[in-house]
Amino acid sequence: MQEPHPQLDQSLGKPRPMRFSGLTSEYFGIWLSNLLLSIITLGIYSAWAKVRRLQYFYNHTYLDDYAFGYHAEAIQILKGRVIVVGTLILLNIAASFFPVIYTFLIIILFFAIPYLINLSLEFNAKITSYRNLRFKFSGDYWEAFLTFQIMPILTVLSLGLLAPVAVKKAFGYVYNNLSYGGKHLTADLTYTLFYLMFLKVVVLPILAMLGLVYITTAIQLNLDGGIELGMFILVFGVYFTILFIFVIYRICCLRLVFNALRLDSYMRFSNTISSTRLLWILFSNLVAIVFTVGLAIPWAQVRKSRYLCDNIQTQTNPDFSDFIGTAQKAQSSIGEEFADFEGVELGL
Amino acid sequence: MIRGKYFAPASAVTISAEYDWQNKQLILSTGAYIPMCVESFQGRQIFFDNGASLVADTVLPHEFIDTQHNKVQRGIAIMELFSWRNILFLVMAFIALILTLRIVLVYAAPITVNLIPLSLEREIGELGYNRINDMHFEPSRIELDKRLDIIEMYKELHRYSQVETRPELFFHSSETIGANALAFPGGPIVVTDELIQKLDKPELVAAVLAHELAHIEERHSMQQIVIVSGSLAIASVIFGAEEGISEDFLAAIVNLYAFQHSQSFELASDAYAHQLLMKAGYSPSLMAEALEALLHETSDKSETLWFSTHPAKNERLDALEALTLDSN
Repeated sequence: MQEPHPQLDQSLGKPRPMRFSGLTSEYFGIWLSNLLLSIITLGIYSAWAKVRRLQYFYNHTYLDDYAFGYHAEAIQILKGRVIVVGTLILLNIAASFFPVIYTFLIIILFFAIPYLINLSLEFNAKITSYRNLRFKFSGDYWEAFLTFQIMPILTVLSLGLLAPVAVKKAFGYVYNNLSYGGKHLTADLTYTLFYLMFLKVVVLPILAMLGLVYITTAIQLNLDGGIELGMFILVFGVYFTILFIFVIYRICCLRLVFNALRLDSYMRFSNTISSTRLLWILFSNLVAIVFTVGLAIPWAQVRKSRYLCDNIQTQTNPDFSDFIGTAQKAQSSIGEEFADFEGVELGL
Repeated sequence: MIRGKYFAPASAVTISAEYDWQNKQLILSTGAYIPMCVESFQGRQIFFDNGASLVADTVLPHEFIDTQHNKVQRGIAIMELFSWRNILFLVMAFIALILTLRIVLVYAAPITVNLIPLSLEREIGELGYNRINDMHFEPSRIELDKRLDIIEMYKELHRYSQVETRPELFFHSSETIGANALAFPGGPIVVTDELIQKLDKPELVAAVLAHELAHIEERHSMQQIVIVSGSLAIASVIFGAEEGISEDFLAAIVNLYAFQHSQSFELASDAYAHQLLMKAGYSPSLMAEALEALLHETSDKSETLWFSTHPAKNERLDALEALTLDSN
């Protein structure tokens, strides 16, 4: 599936791919040291490990001739982590022993999550630098509340029909509120594109799968015997198909976003990411990780980053004199650590 | 000297420059000298304390990095350097650490459990019992006389055990659980009708009860909770921030480990039951007989031991036989 390529702006330079210069051999040592020191220190070092790992990846991700910088302080991450883990333990205790208080806490958490998501996005933007300037995220609580709490509920209530709206809103929220050097990033996303993609990548394959399930079950019933094995294969088949659909859907969303992203009139993104190729990379990564008991993780991460960077192109205006940095003030990492622990993934 | 592109504070515009890190001054291509102190560096980027930065044209020189690192950072940097010898050493250290952690956890579990008040344990047991009672238990249909016989023997066994307050003993019929006996943390103990029917002699039921009493006296459930949550806590803190390892994968490994551990609890309880039966004046071979009767249908080969909370039948019977030989 190939989305229409965005209009290439002639005033900008030629499209150039981003570049990832990290090496598996280099990163392997960092990864293993991180793991080892984290275990020796019973997890305390993991905050430093996170900084070390992300710094390596940011420092090796090049846009034009410059790499990104990562500026989180490990101590800050550690504090955030302690608070988040403490809260989660308290929540678990409350869940088992004080159901009333637990319900109350869950309601509070429901309203706190948009705030935490904003904190996380602000934190991640602030600690990312490019050409000496930091990114900035300015979100709005109620917009985040609508995007991350209300829309998922509406999606379920509409039996998935509103899923493209929810996804488009989420991506829009994350990217349209980002700015760099005083200029806004914009993702010109349309509902039509998201609905078309949803139809192609999710609805049609699921209908096809259901048809197949119907036919196989009918054959099974006629054949008698061997039903148990047949059911087993069927359940696994359905499970993996849904997993594949989910991953491809995510990849396609990424492609839509990186075709629509621009930084004011100074930079445009486009991409040549192939869903099947990326799917293959992710899947073979997983197999390699399982078969090497985790030792292939550094290789897998480097491989994925390299593919993504090689297939995201930018056209840039060479004049950066219009970009102005703003003063930095300290930012809490609680939101970011919360998102980390709850496995919230927010674009990028 | 480090040659590169200079960015003035709050600016994204580049100027060619050189940084003389020994004398802490920046020399612009225009010839101007600016004194500047390094705040941090990463990759090829140097960040100065006034908000300016320099991107070096090549990799930062080792001499410069050395002066910026403290002892600990220097040590870590050496560790991170790729060489086969280094990697081999790290992998060995990693395996040694995991093994140590495993041993420490096993020894720490009983100590930690001692810190947990018995009242809390009983509360957990009751909660667990109530939950399973609602879902899986029906009232017992065993005749009252038979039940009273078993209760008498149970009281007798308890007298010889170290458990202070006698855990309650409940009889239930349960289709889903089948022939089984369960000890909840701190009590109660539940015996199913199916178990009593399968072990026709009440003495054999008593042997099973002795085994369950051992679980309660040694607080095995609590130890199991401590070990599982301990391993999960350590594992999730270590791998938590590491992408690429799914939580399910992690939980599967921890569970596998917990299962292994649970097997050792079962063997310990068998041995304890053997002792307790002797003390109370029963034949110590009752435990083996009960096991034989209960596990009669399970062929030993078919068991996938790695995924089982209980050891293989033969292993348990062999262990009991060894005990009998010892006591004789």
